[in-house]
Amino acid sequence: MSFFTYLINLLSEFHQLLIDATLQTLYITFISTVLAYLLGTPLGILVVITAPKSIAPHKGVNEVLSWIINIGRSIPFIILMVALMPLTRWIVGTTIGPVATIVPLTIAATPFVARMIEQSLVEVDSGLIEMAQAMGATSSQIIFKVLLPEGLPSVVRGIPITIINLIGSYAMAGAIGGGGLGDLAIRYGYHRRQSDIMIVTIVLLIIIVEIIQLLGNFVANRIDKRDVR
Amino acid sequence: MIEIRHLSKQFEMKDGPFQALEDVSLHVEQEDIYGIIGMSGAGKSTLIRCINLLEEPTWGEILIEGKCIFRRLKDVSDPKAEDQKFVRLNDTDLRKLRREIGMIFQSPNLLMQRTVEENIAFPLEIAGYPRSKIQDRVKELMDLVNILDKAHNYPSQLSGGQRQRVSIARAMANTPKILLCDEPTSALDSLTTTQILDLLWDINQQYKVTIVIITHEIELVKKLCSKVAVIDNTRIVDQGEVGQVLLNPSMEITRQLMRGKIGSEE
Repeated sequence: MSFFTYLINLLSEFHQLLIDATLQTLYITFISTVLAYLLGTPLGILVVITAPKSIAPHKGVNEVLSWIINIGRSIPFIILMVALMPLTRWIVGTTIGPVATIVPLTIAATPFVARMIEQSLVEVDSGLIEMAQAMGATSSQIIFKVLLPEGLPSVVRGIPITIINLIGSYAMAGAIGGGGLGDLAIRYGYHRRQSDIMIVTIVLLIIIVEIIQLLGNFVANRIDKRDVR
Repeated sequence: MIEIRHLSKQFEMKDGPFQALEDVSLHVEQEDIYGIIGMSGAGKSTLIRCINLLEEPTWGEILIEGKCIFRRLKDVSDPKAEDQKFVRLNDTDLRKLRREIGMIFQSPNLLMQRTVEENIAFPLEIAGYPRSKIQDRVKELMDLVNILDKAHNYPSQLSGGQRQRVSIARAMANTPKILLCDEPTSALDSLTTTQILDLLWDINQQYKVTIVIITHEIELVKKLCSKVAVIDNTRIVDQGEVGQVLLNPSMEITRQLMRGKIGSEE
C-alpha cells in the first residue's frame, strides 16, 4: 500500500472526526479571542493612561491593574482551568465539553491581551499625545483619535499571537475533555496509539497557525500607513 | 496680547529641584512675530509651553488678551484682592484656551495613520465641527500651505518640509489668534527653512496672527521676527526690537549667538 492510498484510507475513515475537531478548535479559540479582547482592551488602555506622565495618571489604579495582570499571567493554564471550575460551572452550567473551556481560556487570555494592548499603545509617539493636548483634546479624544488608531497596526499584529496562544491552551483543555484537536490527539493518538492521527492533528495545527499568522501579517501591513510608498 | 509676569518654573527631579525659568517677564503685542532665542537648555521650550499651560508655572502670572489664565504669586499682601488671587483654569476652560492657540513643534507630530487631509481635520474634529464644514475648511487650509496635491497622501510619503507645512495648516485650523512655534525649522535644511519662514510670515500678515517662535538660530530671528528676547540660563537677559537687540548687542550671550557658536553645540 502506497503512502498516498494509506492517507486516503485514513482520511476517509476519520475525516468527519478531523473536520469536527478542527472546526471546534477554530470556533472555541475564535470566541475566546473575541471575549479576551473585549475584556483585555479596556484593561490595557487603562494601564496605559494611568501610567505616570500619561493623560490620566493614577498611581493606585495603575499598580493594582498591573498587579492583577501579572497574577493572571503567572498562573499556568492547566492550573487556572482547574481552579476556575466553580466559576465555569456557575457561568456555563458544566465544566466538561468545549463550551466550558471558553471561560478559562478567556480569563487566561485577558491579561495577556491587556499587556499586548499596553505594549502597542505605549509605542505611540508621545509627541502625538502632546500635540493633541496642545489642541485641547479631551482624554477620551486622545484615546479614540490618537492612541487607538495610531496603535492599531501593532494591536492587529498582536491578534495572531493571542489566537495561537489560545490554540495551544485549548489543546491542553482538550486533553481533559474539552474537545477540539487536542482531544483528538490524546484519545486517538495517545490512548489508542494511533500515531498517524497524532501526526495528522499536528499537521493540521501547523497549517492553522501558519494561516492565522499570515492573515494577521497581511491585514496589519495593509492597514499600516507608516511606510506607504 | 500675551503678558508674562515674573514667571518661574521649577521641575521636581529625583535629585532635587531643577530651575528651568527664573523671574521671566515678557510682553508680546498683537501681530508681533516674537522670537525667543537661546542655547539648548536655556529654558526657552519651557517658556513657550507655559503660554498654553502644557507646563504649569511654579510662580508668576500669564495674561492672554487681558484675561488672566494663570496666577500664583510669591508675595501676596491681600489674598482677596482681585489681582492677587490664585488663578488656574479648570479642564474645560483650559481646553477652550488651547483650541484658540495654535502650536507647531520641531517634529511635525503628524498622525501617521491619517492622510494629510485627515491630519488637518484633526483639531476641527476635536473642536466638534460638523463634517460638512470640516471639508471646506480643510481645503482652504491645504491651499494656504500649498499642499492640495498631497491631500490623500500619508505623512510617510511627504518630505520634512511638506510635513511641517501640514502641521502649520493644522495649527491654523481653528483660526487661532496666537501661533506658538517650538523650533519649527531646527530639523529642516536651509532652503526648506526659508520656505517655512516665508509661510509663517505670510500667515502673520494675512491673518494678523501673533506668532511666538522659539529658536537657537539668529538667522531666523533676523529674517522673521519683529521683536526678540534673549534667554540665557533660565533668565531673559535682553529683549526688544530685533534691530535694537542685534545691532547693538549689550550682552555677551547675544554676541555669542550672533557669532553662531550655537551651531556647533546642537
